Amino acid sequence: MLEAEIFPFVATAMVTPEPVLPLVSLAAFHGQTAALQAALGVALPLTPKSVRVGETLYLWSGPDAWLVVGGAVEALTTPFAAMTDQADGRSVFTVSGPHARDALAKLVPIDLHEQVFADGATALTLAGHIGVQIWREGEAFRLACFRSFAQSLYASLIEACREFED
Amino acid sequence: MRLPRGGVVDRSKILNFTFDGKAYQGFAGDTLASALLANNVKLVGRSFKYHRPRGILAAGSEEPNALVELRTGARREPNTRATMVELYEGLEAYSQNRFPSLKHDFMAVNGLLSPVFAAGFYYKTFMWPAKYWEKLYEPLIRKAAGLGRNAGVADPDVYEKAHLFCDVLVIGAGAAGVQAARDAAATGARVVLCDEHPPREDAALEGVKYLPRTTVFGVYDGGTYGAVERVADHLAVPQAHQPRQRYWRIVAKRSVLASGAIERPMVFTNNDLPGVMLAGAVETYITRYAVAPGARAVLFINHDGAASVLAAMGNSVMAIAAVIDARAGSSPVIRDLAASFSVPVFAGAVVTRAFGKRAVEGVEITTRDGGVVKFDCDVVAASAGWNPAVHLTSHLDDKPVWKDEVAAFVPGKLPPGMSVVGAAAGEGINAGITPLWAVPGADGKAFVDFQNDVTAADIRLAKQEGFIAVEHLKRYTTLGMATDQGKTANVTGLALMAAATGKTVPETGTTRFRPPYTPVALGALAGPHRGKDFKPTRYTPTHAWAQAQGAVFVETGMWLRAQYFPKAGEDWLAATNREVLAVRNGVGICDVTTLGKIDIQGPDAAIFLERVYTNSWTNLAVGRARYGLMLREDGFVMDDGTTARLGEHHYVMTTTTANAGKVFQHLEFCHQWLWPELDVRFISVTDQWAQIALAGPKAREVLQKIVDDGCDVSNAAFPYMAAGEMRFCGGVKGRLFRLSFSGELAYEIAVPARYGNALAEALMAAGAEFGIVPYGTEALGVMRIEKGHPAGNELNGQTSAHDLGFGKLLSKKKDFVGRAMAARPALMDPARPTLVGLKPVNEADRLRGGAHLLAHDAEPVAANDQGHVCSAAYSPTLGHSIGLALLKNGPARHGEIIRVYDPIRNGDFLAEVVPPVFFDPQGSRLHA
Amino acid sequence: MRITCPHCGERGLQEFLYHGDATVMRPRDGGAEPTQEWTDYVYFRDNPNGAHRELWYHNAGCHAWLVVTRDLRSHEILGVEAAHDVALRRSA
Repeated sequence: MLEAEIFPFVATAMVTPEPVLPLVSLAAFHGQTAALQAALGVALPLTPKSVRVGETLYLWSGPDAWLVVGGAVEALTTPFAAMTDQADGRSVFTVSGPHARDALAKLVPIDLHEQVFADGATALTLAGHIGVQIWREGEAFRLACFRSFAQSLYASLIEACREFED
Repeated sequence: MRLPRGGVVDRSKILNFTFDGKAYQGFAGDTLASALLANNVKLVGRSFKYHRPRGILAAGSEEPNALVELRTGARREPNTRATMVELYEGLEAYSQNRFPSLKHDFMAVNGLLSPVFAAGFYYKTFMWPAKYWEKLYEPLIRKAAGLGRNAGVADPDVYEKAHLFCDVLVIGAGAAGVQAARDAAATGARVVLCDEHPPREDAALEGVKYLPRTTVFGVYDGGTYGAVERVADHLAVPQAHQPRQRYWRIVAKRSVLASGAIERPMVFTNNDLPGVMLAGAVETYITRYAVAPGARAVLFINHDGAASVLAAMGNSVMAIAAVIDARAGSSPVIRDLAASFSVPVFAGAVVTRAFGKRAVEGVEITTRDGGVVKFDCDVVAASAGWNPAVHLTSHLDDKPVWKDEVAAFVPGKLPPGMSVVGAAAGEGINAGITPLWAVPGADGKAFVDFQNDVTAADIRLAKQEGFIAVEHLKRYTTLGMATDQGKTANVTGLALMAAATGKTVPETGTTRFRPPYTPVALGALAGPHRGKDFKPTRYTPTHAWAQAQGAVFVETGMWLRAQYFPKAGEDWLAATNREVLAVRNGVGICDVTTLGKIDIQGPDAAIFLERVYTNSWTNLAVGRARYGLMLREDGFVMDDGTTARLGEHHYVMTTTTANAGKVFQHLEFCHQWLWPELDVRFISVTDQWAQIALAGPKAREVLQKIVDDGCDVSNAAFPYMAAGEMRFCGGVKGRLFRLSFSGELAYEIAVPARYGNALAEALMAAGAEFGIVPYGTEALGVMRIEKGHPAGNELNGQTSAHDLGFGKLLSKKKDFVGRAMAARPALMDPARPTLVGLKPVNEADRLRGGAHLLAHDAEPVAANDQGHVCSAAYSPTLGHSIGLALLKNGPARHGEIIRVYDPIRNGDFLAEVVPPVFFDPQGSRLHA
Repeated sequence: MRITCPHCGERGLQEFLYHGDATVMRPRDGGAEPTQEWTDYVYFRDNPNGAHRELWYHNAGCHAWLVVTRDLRSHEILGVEAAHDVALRRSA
């Protein structure tokens, strides 16, 4: 067995680097979304939202596409969708605390106010110049980027949160 | 002088500051301008062209004269308006544009030459003799011109950018703005209130995000606004973790413009002397800062709004010599108020000139009957009326409209979602006004644009020379082109041109206002994106391992890739040569993760590949990979790569590193727009898989040591171009591809990215007995040039498939992107520059990319240019420099000696045209 | 400029890449010859002084291609549709 790399990111009060999580991308084939939902037993969101089933979060990730966070679909094969492991393809960070939104406003060009980005909302957008999928879990925000951007995204998040962490 | 009572300055907080090295004191709440006036400092600068002595004209951001250099060292900044500088302890300010001192400026001689420096001077002088331009005129002009000087060292401050969303953006926190914000917040809307001045208590409203020190500088499409917050400009040094300034990108459903109005100066001879000020500014200094700008004032006006100035002056310690009201009968408001202060009113009179050496000492007026009267005074408070600050209403190309009743421009058509309130809408200003754009007889010293030294006479000159269109007036005289963008000058200049041409103001028009409203520091626009943070950096999964191996890295787009791995004492060339020889004689590993990897699945995946690649795909078996060529629709090569079939409907495509994003975009374009009926999905897996090339004669022996038991990687079981799933190092599920860029027996091993470093270490351990080396992009590049593989330099967007020797890859049997236009005769013309190899005749000569190719006896002129060198390298395998080049009729000229011409780098030698594959042309090593 | 992606909602210009004219159609003749129709498709474009239909790619978002109807003078966005839907209707 090979040793897995763990990025040496230090957690702060507001920024938490998440450990590698099971992540799978799903992209339904033509007209197969309903069949996919039935096969999974999950009402996959058809708009930018997330649906939680137990320990697994199903995030809308584009038209007829989802990012599944959590182990429920790792072992699955399905004829209704393209499935691709993304556990190593993404790095995930959590930004929390009363100033999470103020800090993220320095990076994310969408409105994260709870009126328009409520619990369960998700979006594909940017954090600075890095493409991210962002979603809200309660008062906290999670951001997933391509793994190769992890160091840069971490540094941006730390910089954005710095004024609130002292 | 400071008044004993009043103002909103905090007299309990005394602040020390210096101006031109001299020490003064002011109070917290002062601006630099109010503090200077409190200390009776009137002379603050020298004008741009004529170096005339100048003082403070205004109290706000419209100030044209009092531009100072603030701070010293790395934070030194030029051209800062003293009226907008909040005083702080230890502030250092310096006047500009004067030598050797403010009081005695040698360049004031320009004033004597003013007939020469009149409008249009730039277009008429320094023309002849032309040969003196570079050596004499330009250095002279550079020394004499310009305002302020750059710090010249890196800015030590940080800047931020942030996004802000709201329902209502209120611009301006005067009375009208505060009311609008309060009303909007009461409806439950999300309200943002921006104001360019320091915080004011009455603007801190419940439920409103109040941003003081924040200028909304631009209105953009879609309800987007740009604003700059001067977070720490009022501090000597920003606090810990504080940016110096913050650029806000605001998206607002609606906006309310409450930007107020800007006063117009009176135009008369010597109206630029220190002490001649805008009347409203005099009022502001008295009421807000408790500063009287002088002891004895003359008020020169043409509307009733100036009554408040008269009241402020009258209720202070200032003496008022007279009110000069240009209106024939003045007005009851003015006459009654003046009488209450026992001040005489001269109705129908004008100030014809001010006089004084470096500050105003008196004025001369002409009365209604033509008589001349002189007054002693050290302040002239002048107002020709107010201009609504309509700039933001016209950023989206709408024009303000002229309103005769107030003799001013008011907002016309507004940007979507914007409404205007208060003085900005033309309300409550210029009551009873009779326009007076310039005093009759105003001559070459009657200024309209103070900052660019444009006079009433210049405007007459422009008209005389035919530059009567308002856009020509601006550019010919430079009226309105200084850092203040003509805030106190544009309308007056326009009105004077209208009068000179016998037209009305609306007939004459208006120049367009464009963002930014006031200057914006480039640092604020950059925010955190400077230096190494200009763009993100992407790290490969073997970065930590490569670093530990001493790799030198190179930027490839956003990626950092190991370029070479120098041993002690090696430079890049020695390391690269060693790496190439080690790979060709033994084995080496190289990270190739950065090449785009796109996972393609779906019932129509094969058909889709047929349409985007030029060659055939429906006959590719599961477990095999194939080289693919992709064209643009215009027939030129876009990208290449290898695509492997991992399952019946499952492929993985690779692209070049540089084009990964572009190819993905292209696939989505073809799928969503061209052939939506094809059932296929794509996703990037570039980051999911760490991919390492293992190359060299010993590659299989190393591979066999790391694949798990039961995995057969013999030549029979895993031939050249095989591809499939594999297990490595005790259970790690990965993929193996037998591909070669180096031309050696080679594999690419893919494991989930978290194992990248560990895989590299495992390969090094397994290969130790074979002398395995790590190799970087340099060695990779040398080897592919030795094998004649086109790469980025050849796939430059201007080459066709035929140019690169790939003509055979264009299928004749099916449609594919680029098929039709690639068949254009001109793209298949063999006379086009086509791929060849080059070998210097003298093995000591060095081929370099970019060198031009000529027939060996041709004169080196552009007409004889036959192509250029695309890629070049020293080949340690062959012992000399080699190159890949595009040469007209290339393949027909193997053996010919041509001239390689590189004048910029002093290269001029002969080379032999050879086939592009320099090493192992049969490809025997690939199939070992 | 802000474009309302039908999947993601209103977003700023920095999330999109502009491609070009959405009114030109790829010839369906298999492309064996470089005909005038192909040349027109690849090179010739109208430049209307008013509303225009153009293709944009939501690069930093959901990767959807969009057909945007935009007034080329005022930049006003008059409509946005998913290119995939437009393409399906066209081929129906």
